[in-house]
Amino acid sequence: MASSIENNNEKLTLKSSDGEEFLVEKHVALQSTLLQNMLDSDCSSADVIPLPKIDARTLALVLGYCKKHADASSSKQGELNSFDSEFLKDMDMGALFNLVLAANFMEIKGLLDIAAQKIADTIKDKPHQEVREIFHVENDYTPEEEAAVREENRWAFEGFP
Amino acid sequence: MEWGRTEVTETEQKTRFPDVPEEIILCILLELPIRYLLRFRCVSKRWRFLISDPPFSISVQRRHVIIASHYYQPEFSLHCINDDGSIMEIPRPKPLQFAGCLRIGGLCNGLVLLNSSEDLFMWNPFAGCCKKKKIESSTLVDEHLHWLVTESNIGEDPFSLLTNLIVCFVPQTNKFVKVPMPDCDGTREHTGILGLDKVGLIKVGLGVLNGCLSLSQCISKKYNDIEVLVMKQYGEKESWTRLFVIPEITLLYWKDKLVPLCCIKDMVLRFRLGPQIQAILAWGLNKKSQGVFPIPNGSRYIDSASRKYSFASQPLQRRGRVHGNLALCGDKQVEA
Repeated sequence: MASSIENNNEKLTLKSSDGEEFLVEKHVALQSTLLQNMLDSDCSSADVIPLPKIDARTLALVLGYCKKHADASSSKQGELNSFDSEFLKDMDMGALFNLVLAANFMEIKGLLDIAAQKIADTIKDKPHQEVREIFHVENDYTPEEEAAVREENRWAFEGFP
Repeated sequence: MEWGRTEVTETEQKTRFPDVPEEIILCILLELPIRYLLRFRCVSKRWRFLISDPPFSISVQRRHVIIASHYYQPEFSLHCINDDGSIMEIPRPKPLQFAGCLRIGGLCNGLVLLNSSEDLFMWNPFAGCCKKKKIESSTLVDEHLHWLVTESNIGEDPFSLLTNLIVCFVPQTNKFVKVPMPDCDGTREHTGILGLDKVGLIKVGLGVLNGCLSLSQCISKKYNDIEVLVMKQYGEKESWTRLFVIPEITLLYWKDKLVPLCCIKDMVLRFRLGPQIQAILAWGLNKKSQGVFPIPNGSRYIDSASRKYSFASQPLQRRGRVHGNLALCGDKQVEA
C-alpha cells in the first residue's frame, strides 16, 4: 500500500466489455471512486481490472476525461470548464448515454454531472412523446389521463405538440 | 414551432439507446429548468411521480417567484420567474377568471394565498387548483408573520420606544414576540433613519432566503452598500450571518424597501414595496452584478411571493389563522 503511493508512475490495466485493454496511470485512475476503492482495498494493481459494462469506445472517452482532470492543476478551473464543454460538444445521444452509465458505474462525479447536464440540454426542447422513446418509457396513461395531466400545466405546453 | 427532425436526430433514431436506471434519470431531470419538467410529467405515471412531490423532491429544491401585477384593476396578470430566469405568464385561476384586483397575501405550505375583494383563495399554479377559503376558518396557516417595525407604525405598542425591531406574530397565543436582532458591531457607523440615532444600522427589508429569516440593511453613511444577513437558527441571535454585500446600489430609490426575496441559482431577487415604482432587482452572486427584471405588462403595482415548486393541492392541517392581508409572510415553519 505504502509503496504503491510512493510510485506515481505505477500503471494499471483496465479491460473493456469488448476485450480491449487500457494501460492507465494510477493518478488518472484515481479520478474514479470505484477504482480508488479497489486500489485502497489492496486489490493488486498488477491484475487486469475488468469493466464488463463499458465498451472500448466509451472507456477511451472516460479515460481521456480522467487524464485531463488528473493532470490539470486546481488553479486551471477555467481551462477545465472549456475542456468539458468541448469534450461533449458533438457527442451524439447514444454516446452520451453510454458515458453517463460509465461515469455512474465508475463513480466519476464530475463526468456524471456534465453528461447529465448535456443530456438534459438535449432533451429539454423535445416533445414529451419523443422523450418517452429516448428513455424507452412505456406510456401507461390512458388518453384521458394524459390529457388531464397536460391540462394541469397547459401553459407549459405552449408551442409543443 | 415545428418539430422537424434534424440530421442529428435521424441518426439518433437508428440507434437504440441503452436503458438508463432511475437514479440516472433523476440526475438528468434535476438539471432541467422547471418549465421543461412540467411537460415531462406527461411521459408516464412514474415520471409524474418522480417530478411531483412528495416524496421525491426534484421540484421542492427549486424556488421561483410569483408576481401579480395590476396597473389598473381589470388588467391584472400573473407571472412567474423561473429557476432559469425565464418569465412566463400563468393563466388566471378559474374561479378568478373575472375577478378584479388581486393581491398576493402570502404563502401557506406551498400554496399562494390570493386576495380578491373580500375573498381569500388558496392557489397552486402547478396543480391548477384554486380553492376559496373563508378567512375565519381556523386550520389555514402555520406560517408566522414577521414585520420590520419602526416607531412610526407600531403606535402605542410596548415596543414603540425602540425602532427597527423584527416582531413575529404567533397566532396560537395572539401575541407579538420580538425576534433577536443581529449585533451592530462597533466599527460600523451607526446611522439613524429620520434622525433616530439609537436604531443603529438602517434596516431596509425583511424576507426569507433559503428558509431562513433574512434582513437587508444599509451599512454605509451614503446608504449605498446593502448588507444581507440570514438568521441560520431561528430565534438565535448568534446565528445571524452575513450572506453578502451589494456595493454601490445605483438605483437610489430602491433602498427604501429592499426585501430579500429568494435565491434562484446564483441570483438573488429583491422586491421593493414603495409607493411609486416597484421592480425586481436581481443580484448575481457569482458575477457580482445587478440588473432589473422587466415587469410584465409594464405594470407599476405588483405583489410577489417566492415559493418552492410544489404540486400540493391541500395545505397540511395545522393550527393557525390567517390575519387579514399582511404584507410579509415567511415560509419557514417556526416553532412557537
